[in-house]
Amino acid sequence: MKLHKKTRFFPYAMLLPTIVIFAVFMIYPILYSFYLSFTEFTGGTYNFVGLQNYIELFHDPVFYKALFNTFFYLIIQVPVMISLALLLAVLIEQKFIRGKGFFRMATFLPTITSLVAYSLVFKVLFNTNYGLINYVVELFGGEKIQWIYSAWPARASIIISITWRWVGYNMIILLAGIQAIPTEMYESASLDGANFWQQLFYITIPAIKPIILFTTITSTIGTLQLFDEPYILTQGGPNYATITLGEYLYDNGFTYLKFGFASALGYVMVIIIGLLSWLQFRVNKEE
Amino acid sequence: MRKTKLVVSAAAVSMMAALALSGCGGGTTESAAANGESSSAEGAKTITVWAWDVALKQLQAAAEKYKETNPDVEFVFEEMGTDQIYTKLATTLSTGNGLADVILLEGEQVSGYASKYPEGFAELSDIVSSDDFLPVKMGEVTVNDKIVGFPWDAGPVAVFYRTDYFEQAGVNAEDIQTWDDFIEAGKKIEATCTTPSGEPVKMLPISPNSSGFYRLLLTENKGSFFDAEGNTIVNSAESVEAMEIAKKIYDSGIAYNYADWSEYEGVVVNETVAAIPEAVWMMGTIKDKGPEQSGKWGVMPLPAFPGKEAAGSTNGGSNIVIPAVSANVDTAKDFVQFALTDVQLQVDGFVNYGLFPSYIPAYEDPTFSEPDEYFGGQNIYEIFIELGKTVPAVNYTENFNEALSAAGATCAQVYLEGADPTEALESLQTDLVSKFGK
Repeated sequence: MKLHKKTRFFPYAMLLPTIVIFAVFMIYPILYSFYLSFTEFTGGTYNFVGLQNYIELFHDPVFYKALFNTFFYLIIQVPVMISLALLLAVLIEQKFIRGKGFFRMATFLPTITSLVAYSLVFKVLFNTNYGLINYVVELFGGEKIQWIYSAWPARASIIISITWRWVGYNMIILLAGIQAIPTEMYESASLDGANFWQQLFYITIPAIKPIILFTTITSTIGTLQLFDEPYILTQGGPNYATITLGEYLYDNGFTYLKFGFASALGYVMVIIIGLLSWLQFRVNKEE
Repeated sequence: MRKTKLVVSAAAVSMMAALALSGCGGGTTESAAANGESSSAEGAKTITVWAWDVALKQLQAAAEKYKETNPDVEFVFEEMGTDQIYTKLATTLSTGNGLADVILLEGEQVSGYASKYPEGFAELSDIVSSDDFLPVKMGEVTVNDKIVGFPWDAGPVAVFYRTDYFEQAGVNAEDIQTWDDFIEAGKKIEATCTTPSGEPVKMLPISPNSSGFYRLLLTENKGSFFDAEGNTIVNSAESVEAMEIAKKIYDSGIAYNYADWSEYEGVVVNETVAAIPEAVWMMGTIKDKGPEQSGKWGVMPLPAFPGKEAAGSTNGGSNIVIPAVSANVDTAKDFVQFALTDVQLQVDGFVNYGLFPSYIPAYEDPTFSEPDEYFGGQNIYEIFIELGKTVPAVNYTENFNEALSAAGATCAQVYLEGADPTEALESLQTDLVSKFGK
């Protein structure tokens, strides 16, 4: 009896460090920042201000700009990147490709590249006066594009950068899914005369649909939290054209020392991400 | 399973926000005794210093000298970048734990921290005598009528210019009296001079996403973001006039766009521009990045606003603060006072590291009236000293950083999207007033 009790208790004792760490570093901050979102930090103390931070947030033009940019990145970048990742994954799995390992590695490499190093390289690439991209544009008779100094090209440069960085990561996940599809299915499809596109749309995509959903959701969350690229490449400019919710949160918290406002913004982001994820599951289930 | 993922991902986001912010809780109830880190058992005192770059090296040199007369004081130097210091300062000031005894801050940042944490820094009124320092620096360290920082290096602004480009285009620096003259000169230079890589030479570099150049003009025009009571005044006549001049210069096409510090250094390396209106510390960058351009640079005062007298401006520089919870406030004060008022140390800091002192008695030293060979034997320091004295103190307030980024966005509207200066500044004023409540 005694022994039995001990064995039941033992797993929890082993889990205790994790539970304590989880409570201290996850639960407590989540609850505390919720409380902070109702306070304003002035004169060295947190004063309770009710919903003022949320009201201020919904009257803040920069918040709407950040929201717009974030959704713009989301709507353009996620589908483009997932399609590209899928296409690359399918291509790498084609029989005629030699050196698959090399292509897999080459596509995945950007994901593990140091963020600062890659941003610096992209800064040089996008430089208006002597960047490689504008050089190519001019070579084909185009006009120099003001990548950092006008709103839409600046947004485009952010999208190009994050796509470059994350396409390989999603490609690897999709590739794993594709490799799990039995080759017999493709063989019989070939015998029936299905071409490459028919095989793609009627075999590959339906078979890995859950994986596509997974990559879409993780990419959606990643894009909603986007911070690094606009922070380093464009500093959110010009005129807030590239600022994201994540960067605006950082600015408010650590540059303006408005911890309450930043917490409120964090909670609004949680709600948006929760809703979007729920929506994506719903759409998937209905289909 | 899927549900869990959703919850976990949602939790992860709030984590990101929460983790980042939770470190800042706790209020300011910690007592001085709680901070045992910097006191040691033997009666010997240890002073911890947070600083960056050359300022750290200069403080190390000062510490060596200080120990000659105070052998019982030990120093620990931690080299930290500005961002590191600000992030750490925000969290440590809240808890009162883990603060250094001597902390370097950029000039404009003192008031933000001192207003958010009114009990955070030791008052230094007893060791700072206002008349001995440049007025603009006293403005930086005076928050709510208390002196909470020790003024260190100043950033008086003048125009560095390329004498060879000027000569080639037949432009005489003495004839450039106003910003209009400056634009005309710029057009002449662009028409006649070419850079080593064959591009036409631009007159000056401007970063169109930042408020830098507009703020330089605003300060020259005796304007600022906030008045003495902290009310937002970005739509003042001075401000509109500064923005109009900035726009006129940018629209005239004589400006070279740059986005960040490395590109800014690039304009020296590539000899892209004929002039750089910048603070005295730019001298170090010019000498460093263009050693072969020795003898080709000169310095002239800022051109004046139309119909006004020439005035100075300021950009950058740093100050030192001492956290109130430090166990060694008195020793720290004594050291800081020594390090920043010992004339020989000020001269060394300037000669070795380009730290232009704000301590006026230091200017008596002959070093500051010596000609500089790099600048064609011109006595350039006198220009900076005279200009530095003319810049008035400004009230920065706790809202400075937010106003600064908002002003950067307004500048982008004006330069890049063709916005009207008056309208753009009116709308900035409305936004800021609604955010700050005044």
